[in-house]
Amino acid sequence: MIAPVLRGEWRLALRRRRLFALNAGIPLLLVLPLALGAAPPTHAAVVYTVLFVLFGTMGSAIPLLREGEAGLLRRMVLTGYPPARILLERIVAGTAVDMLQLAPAILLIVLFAPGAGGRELLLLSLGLGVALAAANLVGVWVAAVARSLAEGALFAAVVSLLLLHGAGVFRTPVPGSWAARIEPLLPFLPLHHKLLEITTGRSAATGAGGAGGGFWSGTVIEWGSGVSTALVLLFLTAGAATSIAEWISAEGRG
Amino acid sequence: MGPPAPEPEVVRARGLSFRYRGSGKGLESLDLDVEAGEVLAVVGPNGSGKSTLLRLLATDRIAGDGSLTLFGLPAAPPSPQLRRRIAFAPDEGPHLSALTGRENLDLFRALRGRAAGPSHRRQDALLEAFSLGREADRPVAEYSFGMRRKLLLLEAIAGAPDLLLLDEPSIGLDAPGLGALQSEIRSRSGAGGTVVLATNELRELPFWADRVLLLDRGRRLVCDTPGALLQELQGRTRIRIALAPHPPEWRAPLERELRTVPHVHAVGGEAGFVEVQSTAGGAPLPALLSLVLDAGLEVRDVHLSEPGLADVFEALTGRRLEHDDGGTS
Repeated sequence: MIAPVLRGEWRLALRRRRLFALNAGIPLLLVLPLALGAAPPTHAAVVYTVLFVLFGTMGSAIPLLREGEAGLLRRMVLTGYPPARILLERIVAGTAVDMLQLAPAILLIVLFAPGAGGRELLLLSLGLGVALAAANLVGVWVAAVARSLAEGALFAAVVSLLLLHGAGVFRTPVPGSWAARIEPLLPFLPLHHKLLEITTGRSAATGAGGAGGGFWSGTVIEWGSGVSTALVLLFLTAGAATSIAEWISAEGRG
Repeated sequence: MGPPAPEPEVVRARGLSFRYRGSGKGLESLDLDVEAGEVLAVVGPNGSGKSTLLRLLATDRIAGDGSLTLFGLPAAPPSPQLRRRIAFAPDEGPHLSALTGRENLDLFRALRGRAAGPSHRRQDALLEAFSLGREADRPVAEYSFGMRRKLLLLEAIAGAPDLLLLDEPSIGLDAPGLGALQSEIRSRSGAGGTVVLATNELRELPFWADRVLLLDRGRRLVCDTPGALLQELQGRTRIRIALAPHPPEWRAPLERELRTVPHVHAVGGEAGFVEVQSTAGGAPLPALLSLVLDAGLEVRDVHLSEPGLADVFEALTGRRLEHDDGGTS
């Protein structure tokens, strides 16, 4: 069987129909009033970005912590299946399931945005995919450090918000500043800029590190940097997978 | 070309020690060799180190001191290749409970590598043998305790491992399950696989094994075939006479009298019963009963039993295995 952990996670997500419906429905409770109401578009975009990134980070960290506590991850590791594959298959499955569960929310955002169409939906989906993959990776590291579900939820929230701040989500970009140079390195920026473009109807790409490059060069740098950082995080996670799996599944860590 | 190099022992432990940080208990300086095709039963009271030993063999724990090699390879750090040859069924273990029993079985078989596992037909046969065939396509969340235990055992057995480790495998098993387990253990051993099982059950499981390792408070007491362990106590029948409530001061004179009966080796017991070891089976029973009745005591029950592993443990430690509270698991 190819990728047994991925298949197991996928089956599990589809089998838990109530949880799946809740995970798809609850983001709508936040997105719907913002998309329909008179929220300032820039504020709405920030809320959407925060929601989606937290969704990915917590959705990865909490189940992993729970399986670590229950001893399931330990049982898997003891079979000799490489820990890197266990974690990476979980991340791929988690990202795919998150995408599915957030699909109604992003459809709604595009549907109620002025002038947004299929191209915006496609680019938003790509940005969401990169952000969710990175958030799932961050969630794995959070699970490795946290010693309980409560700590996991707290760390996931704090780390996600810090990274989003690093990506410039909570501030007005100042071209040429050091912060503007860091922003494209964080893989959440393409998602946020796409959401800003869709909600405001204006281009949000910062240019080459905020140095005043053209729209296309800015977009390419932004996406290229974000994807590269996500890949670096992926390789780091794979490299440290044995230790991460040990930390998460160690008995008496609470 | 010379003769092929001999196969290394499946398990070779020298001075193997492990201490839990909180209690300081665990395993102390254990020497042990287990050959390919051997079935070893690890027996001892709670806290004797049975589960700790199994976890060390499963590479779930790393020894604090001493050396442990498995299939000739060092157990620490454990390699995925080494772990694929070992399957460990702990005394309790979680499943993906929204998936069916069969899906869980498929998952763990796949994690161990398809090549090492049996065919689906054999997997179905195993499910049938353990009376899980009809339940295999139900979610594990709907399983009873016993069914989960069976699934846990099957997840270990189905991978056809070279070293099968079973912690308290009889817990929650019904008679057909026990029969199927015994047959699987014999079949694994016949195919050259090694089985190490830890158990508190003294009457049946240890006698499935080629050798029994008796542990007490983390230390090895003895390791030999069940027959050899019992040989020393051959002919020591235990006669237990349950009594109606009686004044405690009656006890000492009665025990003195019982010791005078021919073939009586030892007299003991607690409130409510006296226990006698006989070197002539049930022959002293009439004389014993006569003395008890003459003392004005009412006999409630009489039970004769041949010596078992609990008696071996008692002979070595001076403590009864069934009533021992010498530690924690």
